[in-house]
Amino acid sequence: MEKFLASIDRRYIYIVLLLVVLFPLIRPIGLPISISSWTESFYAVIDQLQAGDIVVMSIDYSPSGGPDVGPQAVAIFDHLMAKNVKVIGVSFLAEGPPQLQQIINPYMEGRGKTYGVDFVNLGYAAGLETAIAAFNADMKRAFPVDFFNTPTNTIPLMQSVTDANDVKVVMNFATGIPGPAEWVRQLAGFSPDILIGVVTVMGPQTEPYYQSGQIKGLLSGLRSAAEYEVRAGMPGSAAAGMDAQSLGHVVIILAMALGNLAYFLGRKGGAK
Amino acid sequence: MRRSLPLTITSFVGFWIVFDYFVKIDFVRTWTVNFTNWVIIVAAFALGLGAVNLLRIHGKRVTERRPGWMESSVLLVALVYMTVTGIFLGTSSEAFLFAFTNLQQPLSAAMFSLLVFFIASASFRAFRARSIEAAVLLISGVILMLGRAPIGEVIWTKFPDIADWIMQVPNLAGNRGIMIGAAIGIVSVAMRVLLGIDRGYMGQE
Amino acid sequence: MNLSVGITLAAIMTIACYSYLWRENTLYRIAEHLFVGLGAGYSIAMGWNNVKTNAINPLLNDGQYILIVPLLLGALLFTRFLPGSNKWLARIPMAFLVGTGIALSARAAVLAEFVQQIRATIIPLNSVNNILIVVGTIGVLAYFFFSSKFTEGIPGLKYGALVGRYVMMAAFGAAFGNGVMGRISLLISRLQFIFGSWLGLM
Repeated sequence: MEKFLASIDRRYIYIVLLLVVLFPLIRPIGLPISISSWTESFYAVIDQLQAGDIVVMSIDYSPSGGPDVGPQAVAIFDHLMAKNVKVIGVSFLAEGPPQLQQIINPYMEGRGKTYGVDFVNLGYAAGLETAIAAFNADMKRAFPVDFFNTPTNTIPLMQSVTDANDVKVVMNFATGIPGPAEWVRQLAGFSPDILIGVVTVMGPQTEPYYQSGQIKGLLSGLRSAAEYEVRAGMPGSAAAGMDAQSLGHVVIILAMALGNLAYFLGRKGGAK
Repeated sequence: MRRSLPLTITSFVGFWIVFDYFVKIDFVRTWTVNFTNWVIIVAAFALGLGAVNLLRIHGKRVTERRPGWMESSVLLVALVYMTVTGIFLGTSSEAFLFAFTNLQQPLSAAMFSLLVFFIASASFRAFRARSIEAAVLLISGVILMLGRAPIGEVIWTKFPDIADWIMQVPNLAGNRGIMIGAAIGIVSVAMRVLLGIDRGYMGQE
Repeated sequence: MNLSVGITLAAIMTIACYSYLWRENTLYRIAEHLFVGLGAGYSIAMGWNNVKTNAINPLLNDGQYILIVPLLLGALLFTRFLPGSNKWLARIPMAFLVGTGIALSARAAVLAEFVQQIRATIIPLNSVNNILIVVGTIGVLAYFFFSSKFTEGIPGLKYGALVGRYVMMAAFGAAFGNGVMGRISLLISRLQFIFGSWLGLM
């Protein structure tokens, strides 16, 4: 039987996976989405922020992992705007600034928000962890101009901040380096709470920072984004993808189960 | 000179920054911040290094019309387009962002999403519980998948709880051990580099 | 169906990548090279932007002449492409980058990843979970530090390392499960784009 499985053209498996994931996207099933404790604590930190508080959102994810972590940043930015919290957007990964801009674009015109007053896109600084240290020590020096080449010392939102102690929360959304480790290390000794959003695969390795209280909330992947959307009462693209996520898992698990069944049957047969 | 000067620089800035951590002297602090801001500038130059290599390899392939020169010329055109629009029109210009949003971003996302197909194929052919360790890995992985996808909860309401338990207990212990080990590793590598014992970053010769 | 140039281009790029699943082909190779070229050009532009805003402008406009030092260091990085014996000059900026980076990481890692994590493991052993966390963490460390011939015959360490191995396998299993999940998310997003944003079927 194992030989038979090995002889199946891999392209059949690809087609099955593609169709199974596609089906619920076109015809949603509406499976329930429960909220995990990680998302709940992330939400609680954001929810207790007051209008006028300033937070930092660091968009440190690559376009490759963006679809997994980006929806988290979108949901949280929407929530922050609804609460009239001010957001300093920044990036320590070269591909960050345009992706940050995609998140804030809907608020650039209309919706009663003003660029430079309610939010800002500071752009990118090279140097990974070292650049994060420079930013925490003196934000305007590390970013002399924003993404649109406006001097940061003329931007209203930047008038009341010097270093990381001047913001309430720092959020990092990451696909690798720089990520939670770099931010936790370089924010030690500063006052803001740290919240982390990562691609799903980084969730487990970030757990120790969460359990030790070094970070106050942890979102991993599209599932967490879906939970956040539901929790904030603004279901979006992440929640819409959860049915497909479920059926995709079923395909992978069935494939593993079938493979292992064949393996054990083969071994039993061989032993006889 | 060729070795001693770089080693001296590494040790000097390294110990300066470590020293800054333990004392509160304005002069030391100021220069630590200066050094970190200088890194932004030097690291920005480093972003161009890979491109120089690409230009050399693919430029040669195109000029000599070697196999694959068509693809290489596509690469060079893309490289030049992004460089020219980014530098002369600006990285927030429409021309630059158009290529990022409609070419670079979807290409990147699609390339990496291909992996799920290979995972599906490998699940079928390769992921076998051949030992107790492999079984632990597979079972933990499957429960996680069921617990974190809405369908798991529909199949059995306890799946999310078990998945949470895996994350909060065995996974926590495993990753915490790795993290403590890695921290010891970082410190020991740092000492080796700052004392000039580890010189790998200087390359050959 | 949205036939705007941008969306259609993005859709074609996605399909070009997926065509690899059928078999390797010219369309895929072009997409692949386009991807590498765009990424490299993008990095140069972003890097240049940083050099201009953080060094050249303050130097020329505000007279911060000290910034000549990092500019010079940055330029030296490219001496590695010089013919002859001047390649070694590229080591000077590398030395600066490595010295600064590793010192910043190490000085913070002691507290953030060593002391804090050990502190978080000092918990009352009043529940099965707490006991598992403490024993598991120590087990993993035992696996790292004591799984050599040196410790053979010391049963405590041997079994400690064994516990560590199983705990790590469970952790890797969690990473594997999460990894599959993340990859499916990426596929979902591409399908949402092709069938939703482009074809308008969702």
